[in-house]
Amino acid sequence: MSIEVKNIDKHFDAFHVLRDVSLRVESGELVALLGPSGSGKTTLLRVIAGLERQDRGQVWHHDDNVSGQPVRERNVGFVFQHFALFSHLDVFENIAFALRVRKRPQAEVRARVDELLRLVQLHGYEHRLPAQLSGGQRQRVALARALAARPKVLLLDEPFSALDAQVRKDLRAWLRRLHDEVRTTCLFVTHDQEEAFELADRVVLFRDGAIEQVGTPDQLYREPSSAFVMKFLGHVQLLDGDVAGEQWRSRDGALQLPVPHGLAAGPTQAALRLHDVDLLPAGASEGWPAQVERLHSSGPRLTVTLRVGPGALPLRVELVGEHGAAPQPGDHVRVWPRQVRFWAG
Amino acid sequence: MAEREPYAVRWLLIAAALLGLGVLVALPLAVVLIEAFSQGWQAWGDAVLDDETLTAIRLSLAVAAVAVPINTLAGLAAAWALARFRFKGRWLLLMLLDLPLSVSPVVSGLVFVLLFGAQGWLGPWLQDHDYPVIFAFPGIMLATTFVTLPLVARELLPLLQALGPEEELAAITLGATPWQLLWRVVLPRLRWGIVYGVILCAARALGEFGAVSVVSGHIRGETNTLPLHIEVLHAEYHFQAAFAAASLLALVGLLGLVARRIVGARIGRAH
Repeated sequence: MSIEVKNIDKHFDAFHVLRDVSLRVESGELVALLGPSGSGKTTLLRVIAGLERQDRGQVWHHDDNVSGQPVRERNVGFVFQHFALFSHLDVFENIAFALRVRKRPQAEVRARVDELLRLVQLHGYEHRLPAQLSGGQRQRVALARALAARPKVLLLDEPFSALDAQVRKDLRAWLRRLHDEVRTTCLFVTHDQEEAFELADRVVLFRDGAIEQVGTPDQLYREPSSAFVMKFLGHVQLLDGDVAGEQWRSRDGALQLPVPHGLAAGPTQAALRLHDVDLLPAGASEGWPAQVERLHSSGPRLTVTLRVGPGALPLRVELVGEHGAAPQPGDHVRVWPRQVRFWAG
Repeated sequence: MAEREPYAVRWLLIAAALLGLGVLVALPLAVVLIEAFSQGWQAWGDAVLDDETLTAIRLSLAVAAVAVPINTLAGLAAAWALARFRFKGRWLLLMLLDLPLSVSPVVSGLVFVLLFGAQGWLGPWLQDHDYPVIFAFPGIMLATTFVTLPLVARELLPLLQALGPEEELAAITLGATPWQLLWRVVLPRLRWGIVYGVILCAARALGEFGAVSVVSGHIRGETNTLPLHIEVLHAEYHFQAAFAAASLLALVGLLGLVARRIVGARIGRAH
């Protein structure tokens, strides 16, 4: 079932949460709504479910305009950030809830719940209360409960944020496999770039209530549409400066870079990915002179913090894999960005 | 970690609290019981089984039987609306809900006299239609209901706020109708809170004096509730009978306390 929102606008009092948002999600797709907190992604998810009413715009489920339909009739599966399991019902009755309110015969309920318990690997837990489960188990019950009535679409609000780092990683991979198995159209909200990239077919990046860019993780990484996108995806450093002629010059005038032909003159940010910067010996003929300030190792990745040029501009460089003779704090080196993007403004 | 108070200070505080409570609470309660049984079980039984006393007990029970269900339903509706919705006039509803607790019961009673009494706004019309409210059961019932109105709502409102709306929203996304939401999610989660509120409300309804005193007219064997009857007995120097009847109310209060203690522990455990 495809999902489409057209020109959605929404205010919370004076706060403009969603600004003319349009998006189409194809049937069977797994899409991440990514963005900083307060950027409107959760509100869009709730508008699609019907938990919030938009001020303007339409929501379509396949060929149905459901814009004015109450939540109950939309048949969406919604997984809440803190799971919202019914604390007074056991696992079986939690999962069976959507079938009970639809007054399905007992035999059918039994069969469907059994099937779902197997799907979420919780067979044998049906008589536990939510309070007797671990966070990861609760999350899986919430998923099974949301899937019970075979919803047209599964909506997940920050589904992993309430879990420990390790459980989160396992569940992420598990959710991806689950999606490939059930093939329900799926939207999830996250503020974690890594999570969005690992799970989603496509990522929708939000900024201040509007969609900044939509694309596959690869597209977002290779062809970011703005400095905001690059910055949000991380491992990037933005340097303020100006373009004049064929040159970009940092604010303090100490650093220069050649710019592509035809770039408009004026204030321009140079965006450097931390691992696209080469570290050269102090005697190299090219590059900016710099001094190593600090080293920070996290597994295969070594982050070097430098002071560049006479203005001692702080710059970070990431070295990945074997980095034989690592520089030491205080060493004089030269750095040169292999790849730079320029953003006007 | 904070410094522990010196042993002497702790001991002094506990002693002072115990002494204060002993003089103000335990001693009067003991006096009631001692006086009630001062002439033996037989006399206590005679006093309690006296016709006028039995009538008063029946009237009090009947009033509570009407006031408690009304306040439970109204309290549940008010608490749910106040906890879950932001609407115009919400503050007004909150204020009105507190009104019966902040106004003197005597004033509450007078309001009903003003409304329904012989010289009141609706009194003449009611008299013409032979439907007395003041100095009759409906008036006593109204005054008691009014005074005990906030008790269930005030019990459920913080509970609903603490539970949060998420489970209810989940139920709606899963297809529950408002009726199913109420029966399958809201009520089961509130059950101990409701029991607690009902006990509170019933104890107060049985014991209400001020508001009822104004509207009842003190017709012996007719419109005297148990608390009013106790006062009449006492005023007529039937001390032992008054204390015997009072011991019944004290017993109800004690039972209520025990029940609340048990239920309160259950609410605590559910979270």
